[in-house]
Amino acid sequence: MSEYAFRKINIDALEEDVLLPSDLYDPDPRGPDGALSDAQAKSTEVRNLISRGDIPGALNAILSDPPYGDGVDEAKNLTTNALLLILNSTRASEIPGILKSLGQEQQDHLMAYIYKGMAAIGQGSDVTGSVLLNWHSQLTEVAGVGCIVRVMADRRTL
Amino acid sequence: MSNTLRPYLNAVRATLTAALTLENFSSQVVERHNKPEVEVQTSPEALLKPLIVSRNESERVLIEPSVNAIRLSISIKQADEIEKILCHKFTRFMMMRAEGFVILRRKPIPGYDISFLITNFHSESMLKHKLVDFIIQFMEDVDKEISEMKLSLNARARIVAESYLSTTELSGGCAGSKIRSGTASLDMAVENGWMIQALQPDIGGFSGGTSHQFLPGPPSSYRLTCSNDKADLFDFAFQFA
Repeated sequence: MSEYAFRKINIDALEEDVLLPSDLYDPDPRGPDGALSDAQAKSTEVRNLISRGDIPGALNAILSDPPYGDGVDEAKNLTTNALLLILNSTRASEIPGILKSLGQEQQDHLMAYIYKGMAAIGQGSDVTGSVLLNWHSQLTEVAGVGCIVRVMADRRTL
Repeated sequence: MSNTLRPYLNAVRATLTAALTLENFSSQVVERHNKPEVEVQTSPEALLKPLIVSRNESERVLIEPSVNAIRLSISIKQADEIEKILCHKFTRFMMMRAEGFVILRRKPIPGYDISFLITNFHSESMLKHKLVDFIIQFMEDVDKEISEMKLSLNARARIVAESYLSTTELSGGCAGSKIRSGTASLDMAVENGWMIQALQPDIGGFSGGTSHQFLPGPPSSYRLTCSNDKADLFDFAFQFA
């Protein structure tokens, strides 16, 4: 009768008051270009701080106002790479002290990036699972399970 | 449990504990229905961000939370072909009996080996920390189970090959028995020593040993001989069995 599976059309998606995933959060106020230039500035700053050995400062810088949402993939990649570089170059004994110095929002962002790093394992990322798992367990100890819940419930994808 | 596995399981445990905050939630699309939102994926506001915990490329866990159900998919380590087959058989065996395991999903998510679906009704009728313990216990055991099965499979194959070949030794003479598998087939017989005639020329590299005996059989270019060392022959036969 008909050429296509008309029963499978989601008619609710054609309504005017349909809820789209993009309606669930406010977009990044900086816009794609602003986020990108911000991310570039931050990633060079982080590299400088790491070479000076200031890991807490680097982590603080990268975790404040990270780019989020759609259309800022390049800025997100820059930020993620800079953050994974920090995680990789930290000594295991320093981790608890660094984590305690972070604010709650920064801890949540860090947790989100740890999960993002774990999802990228096996897709050409240079960070190993054991490093991320170590950070994850230390962060859960400091920030609790609530930190993970906040990551899951956050609509802004980092 | 090895020390490298523990951080992985701890991360899964923490994530699963965080995700297991479920409540009763009726479908917003179909009246008087109650569906696991993570399965139907009809209302984006009822879904939460899926998280992946991974140890390396082959071992990872995907946790997809939603308001009234979570879906947990496990990718099990498979180092070689035998482990792949064993893992497939093992998970299939369990998934065919999924209602006996209550929270097991009948099909895994693509890219993963086994999936669990925990709804709010499960978390209401069962203790949350016991559910988490069950999943962790399962992940601990499944690796152990598969490596044990692999060992016993190898041992059994070895015994079968050994007893099979020792009966051909008794019969002796030139009428050997055949071992067939895939494309390779070989004739075997015993006369003052071991001998193999292969009907496939591509099993070269199996060189002759000290004493050789030839039988009338296929063209001589196809013949391969081996030493009278029994262990060699068993290993060789085992590779093809």
